[in-house]
Amino acid sequence: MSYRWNWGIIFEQPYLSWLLQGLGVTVALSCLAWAIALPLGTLVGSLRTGPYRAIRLLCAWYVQAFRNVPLIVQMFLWFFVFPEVVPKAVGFFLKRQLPIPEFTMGCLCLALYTSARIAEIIRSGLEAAGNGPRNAALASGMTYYQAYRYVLLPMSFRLTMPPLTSEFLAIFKNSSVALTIGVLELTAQSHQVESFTFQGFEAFTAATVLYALISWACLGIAGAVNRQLSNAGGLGTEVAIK
Amino acid sequence: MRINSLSLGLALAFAACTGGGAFAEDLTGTLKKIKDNGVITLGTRESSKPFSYIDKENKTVGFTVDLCNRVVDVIRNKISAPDLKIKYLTTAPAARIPLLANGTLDMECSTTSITLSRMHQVAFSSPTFVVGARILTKVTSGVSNWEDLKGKIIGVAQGTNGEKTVKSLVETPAYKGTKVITFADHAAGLLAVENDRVDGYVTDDIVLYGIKAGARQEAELKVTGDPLTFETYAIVIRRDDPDFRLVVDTALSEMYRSGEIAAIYKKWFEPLGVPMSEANVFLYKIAGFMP
Repeated sequence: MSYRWNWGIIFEQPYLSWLLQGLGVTVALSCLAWAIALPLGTLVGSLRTGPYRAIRLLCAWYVQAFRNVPLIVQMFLWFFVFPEVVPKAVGFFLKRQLPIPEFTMGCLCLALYTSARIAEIIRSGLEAAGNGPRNAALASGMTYYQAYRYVLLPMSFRLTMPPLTSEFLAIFKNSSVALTIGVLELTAQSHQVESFTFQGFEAFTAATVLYALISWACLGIAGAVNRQLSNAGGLGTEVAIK
Repeated sequence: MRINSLSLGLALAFAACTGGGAFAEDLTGTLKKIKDNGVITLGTRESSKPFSYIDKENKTVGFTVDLCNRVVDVIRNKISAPDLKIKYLTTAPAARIPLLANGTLDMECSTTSITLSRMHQVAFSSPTFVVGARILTKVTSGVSNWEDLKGKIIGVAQGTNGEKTVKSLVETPAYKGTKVITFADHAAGLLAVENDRVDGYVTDDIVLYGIKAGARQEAELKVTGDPLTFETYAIVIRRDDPDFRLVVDTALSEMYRSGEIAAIYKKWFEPLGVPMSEANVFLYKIAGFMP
C-alpha cells in the first residue's frame, strides 16, 4: 500500500470549512425534515386506525407509495419530474423562483418518506395498545380527537420510543441521498475533499466520525425524551400496556 | 521503496564498476511488478465519453484508453515482455486512489486533471488533453458568453474546478443575484438545461460537447463562451516511481512528436465535430520532448 496519509488535511482550509458546512447542511436538512415528518406521520398513522374507512384506505395508499419507492428515486422524481407535471406557472415557480430549490425539495422528499415510516410505527403502537383503552375512552364520553390526543397517542409514543429513535437516527443517514440532487451535505462535501486532494480515507473518516457524533447526540436526546415520557403522570411503558 | 532504491543503487554501482558498458538494467517498482505478473491493470470509467467508457459491445474504449494502450506497447518493449496482458478495471472516481495505492491499478486512464494538491498523493504523466470550462445552453436562451449569465441561474458539476471558479465569479459585484446550483452528474445537468431549470450548465468544454452529442434535441443546444479556466488531463500513476513515469512520458512524447496523436484525436473527436483546439495543438508540440 503506497498511500500517503495526511490527517492534517481535514484541519486545513478550505477543506475544514467544507466539512463543517456539510455538517451544518446535514443537521439542518434532517431536523427540518423530522419536524415535518413527525406530526405528519403521527396524523397519517392515527387516521389509519381511525373510524373512517375511506380515509383509512387513503392513508394506507400514502404509506405504500412513500415507503415502497426507493428514496433515491423519490428525490429524482420530486426534483426533476414533479415540476414538469404540475401546471406551468407552478412548475416555473419551483424551477426558477424557489429559494435554494435542491435543499427545499430534498427536505420535502425526505420528510414525506420518513413520515410514511413514522406512520407505520405510530400505527403499530396504537394497535399494541389494544382496543381496551380506545373503547374505555370513547365510552367515557371522549370524542375520537380527545381519545387519540389524551389516551391513545401518549400510549403509542411511549411504546414506540425505540423504533422512533432508530428512525430519528436513520433520517440523518438518509439525508445523504440528497447529494444526488445537488445538496452539498456532509457526504457530498467529503467527496468534494476527496476529489480535490485525493486524501479520500481521511475525508471519509472525518465524515464517519461526524455522523457518529450526530448519532450519539441523537441517542442522548432520545434518552432524555424517553425518561421524560416514562415519568409523565407516573405511568411508564410497562404500566401503559397493562 | 527502500529495497527498490537499494537495488537501483546496486545496479548503478555495478554499472560504474564495469565502466558503463552493457547496462544490465534492474526493473523497479511498477515495471518490475507488471513484468512479474505478466499483466498491467488500467483503471477506466464506465461513461466518460469519449475518453474512457464502455461501448455497446461491452469493450473499454476511448481517447485516453487508446493512449494508454500505446503506452503499454512501449512498456512491452521496454521490459521485453511481448505477452504482457492488459486488464481493464472500471473504477468509480472515489475508488481510483485507494486502488492505485494498494497496487490493484497501475495506470488510471480517464479524465483526471492535474492539480498540485493531488500531487501530494499521486504522480501524473505528461498532460494528455487541455480543457476549458465553458457553457452549455439552449440556442434560444440568448446566452453567448459569461456576461449574459448575470442575474440568471447557472448549473455546475459537483467537485470540478469549474464549480469553484463559477462560485467565486458570482460573488463579484457585477454578478449580484446570480444563482448557482450544483449537480451530482452530467445527466442531471443536461436535464436541467433542457427543462429551463438553469440558463447555462458549466463544465469542461469537451465534456459539454459529449453531453450535447448524446442529447435528445441536440440541435437546440450549443456550447458557448470563452474558456473560464484551463485544466489538463493526464494519466495517473503511483507517486515515487520515477522509472515507470519515465517510460510513460517517453511513450506519450513519441506519440506527440510523430504526429500519431493527430490520428487518435481525429478518431475520437471528429464524430463530435470538435477540431483540435489551439491549446491542444500547442500542448502536443510542447510535450513532444526530444529523445
